[in-house]
Amino acid sequence: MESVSLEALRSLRDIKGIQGSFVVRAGTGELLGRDLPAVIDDTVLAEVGPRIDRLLTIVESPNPTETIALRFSEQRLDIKRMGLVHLCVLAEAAVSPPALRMAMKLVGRKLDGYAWAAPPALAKAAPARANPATPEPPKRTVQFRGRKTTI
Amino acid sequence: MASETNVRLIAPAEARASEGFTARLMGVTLADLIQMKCMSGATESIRILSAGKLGMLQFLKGHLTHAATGDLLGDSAVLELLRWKTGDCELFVGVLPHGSLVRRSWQSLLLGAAQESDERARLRSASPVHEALAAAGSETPTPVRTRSVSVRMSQDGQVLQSVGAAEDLAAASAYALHMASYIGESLCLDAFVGCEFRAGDLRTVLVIEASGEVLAVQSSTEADVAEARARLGL
Repeated sequence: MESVSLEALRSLRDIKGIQGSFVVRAGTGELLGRDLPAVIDDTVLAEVGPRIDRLLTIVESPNPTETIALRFSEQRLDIKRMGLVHLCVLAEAAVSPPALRMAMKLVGRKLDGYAWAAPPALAKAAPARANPATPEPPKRTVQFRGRKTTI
Repeated sequence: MASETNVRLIAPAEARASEGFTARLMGVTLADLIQMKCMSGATESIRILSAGKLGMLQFLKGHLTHAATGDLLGDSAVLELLRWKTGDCELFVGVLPHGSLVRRSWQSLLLGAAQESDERARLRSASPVHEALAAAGSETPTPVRTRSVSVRMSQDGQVLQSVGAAEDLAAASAYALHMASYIGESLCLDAFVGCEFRAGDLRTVLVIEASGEVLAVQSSTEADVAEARARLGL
């Protein structure tokens, strides 16, 4: 995940009560980025992502489910559907709901504009075009199994 | 609240108290009547007849405890009755053999109905379709809304009570309950207490009550889900 997107997720913590956030890919629930305490590891999020993706499909309506708020005794998990990804925010139950909604909307706009990498299957299916004139893409730092890795 | 509402209140002979007046009132709204009965601490029931439809409200020591009309019960029935414009009301003393199905306070219900009425008026003035319907002499233009559906079920998915066609809602709620609990357990969160889904105008709210039963409400009218949302602090 590029630093700009990670920064966007970090900015959510400006709201008192927000504990962290993560982004999963729509359709698969694959973890794409995170800003959460280390106690929640990527293995857990890899399990949670597909379930979140399925939750967004269960209400039958002419319109797709745009947001879900899951309420637990002391905390809440809010999920917002964006174009290619779902933004998930973990917060204390006492967080200000309007502030949380606004923060998610603002961060959602930033993340929506981000060019998320195509899933591996799509990348393989794309025709290989050798173009020596094309410059090498800039290196990116991504979060992989809890570690920052440059690719 | 619409000012054109006109309710006649007729007390049958067997319901007349030995003391006090028997009233025949015109131009009283159903909201006025609910307010009057609650504030006087009444224990009685009211049968309402309007355009061939029958409704019932029950008061117990000044609390609105039960309401029914068609296939609606409880809060949804009160809100539906408050949409009726004219009718006849008949008092009868006694309490029906049901528990309390009305969960919201009478103040909250009247406020909800007033908000919905305002919203309807706004839609009428904003939408050419509603204007055309009104001009064509159609009965009260129907607001753009999905009828409220609700279901009460056990946590193992057994439907205990439902209002409206609630099969899909019951299935979705049972599934959501499992998924949300798994997500909570995975993230080491506390007990799952409920959730809200928003899809366009459609709101679906699921609440796990203190009794352990699950209440799910689905509606495109904010007022119908307001109390459930408030209980979740959303």
